[in-house]
Amino acid sequence: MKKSDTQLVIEYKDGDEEVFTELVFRYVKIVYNQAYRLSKNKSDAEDISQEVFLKVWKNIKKYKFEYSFKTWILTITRNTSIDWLRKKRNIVFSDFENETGENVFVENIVDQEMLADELFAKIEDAKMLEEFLEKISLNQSEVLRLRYKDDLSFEEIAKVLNKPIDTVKSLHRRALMAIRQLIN
Amino acid sequence: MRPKELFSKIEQDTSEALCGRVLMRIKHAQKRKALTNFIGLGLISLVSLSLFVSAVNYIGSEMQVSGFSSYLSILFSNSGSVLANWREFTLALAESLPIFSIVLFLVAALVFFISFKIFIKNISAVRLSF
Repeated sequence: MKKSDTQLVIEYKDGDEEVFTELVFRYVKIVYNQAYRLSKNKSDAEDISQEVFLKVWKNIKKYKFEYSFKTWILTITRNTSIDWLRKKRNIVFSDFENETGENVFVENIVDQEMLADELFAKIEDAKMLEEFLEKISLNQSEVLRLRYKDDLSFEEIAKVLNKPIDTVKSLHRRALMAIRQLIN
Repeated sequence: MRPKELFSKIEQDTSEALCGRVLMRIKHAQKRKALTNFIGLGLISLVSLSLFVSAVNYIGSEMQVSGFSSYLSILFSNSGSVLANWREFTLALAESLPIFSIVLFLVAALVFFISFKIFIKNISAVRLSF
């Protein structure tokens, strides 16, 4: 039976260093994908991934199970990616922080009955989804990916993005509305 | 298509070598840490050993100077008079106790034994890393 992340971390803290390899295998793809989303570069994403796991290894004894391990590692990945890109000067801060400039018309359409399932059911394929995600803001696309691909709760997403939970929910709602607008 | 399925299709595949590179990087960091700890703790153990030896010599000389060792020898050579005047003897013994050097000796001993214990433990970590 597959051990939970918590069990693996406890075993590692108890001295079983081999379990860290299991954690690496479990999370390398998730970490890489998040790093790639932010850096848009495979080579950078690989370098960032290595940095992330090094940080995880150095700090795992301080991990306190307050949040899920997935949330913790994704937070480290995001922060490491931002620091990396900042050094490379690739980063445009407005990509992460600017939540203004939204389409007022979209803002005012609140289709309360439209569920994400129904919305995504209208998207024909992954390529179309990828295109839509490129067109909405980085913050919004991050929220959608963390929610629907990484299965994080809004609270966990708020921790990863270091934003209030209401902001995250608002970003989520706006992202769905923006995608709905693009579909139409 | 459900959102989870749709989003999983836009995932990037990691190269096979990435896991290996991550683990190699961590192994190097482990070696570096083990070596640094080994050298650092080795030095601390050596320094604390020399302090411990100095503390032993110091406590010995302080006991001579304060008269504590003389009182101790009286206790064993003339126990009858000591028992007859046990109160005065006890006070004199207590007054002659070289407290400062005893404290110094205990601290030096503690530091040495702890650092040496950790150093010995670290030898196995270094062996495993290399």
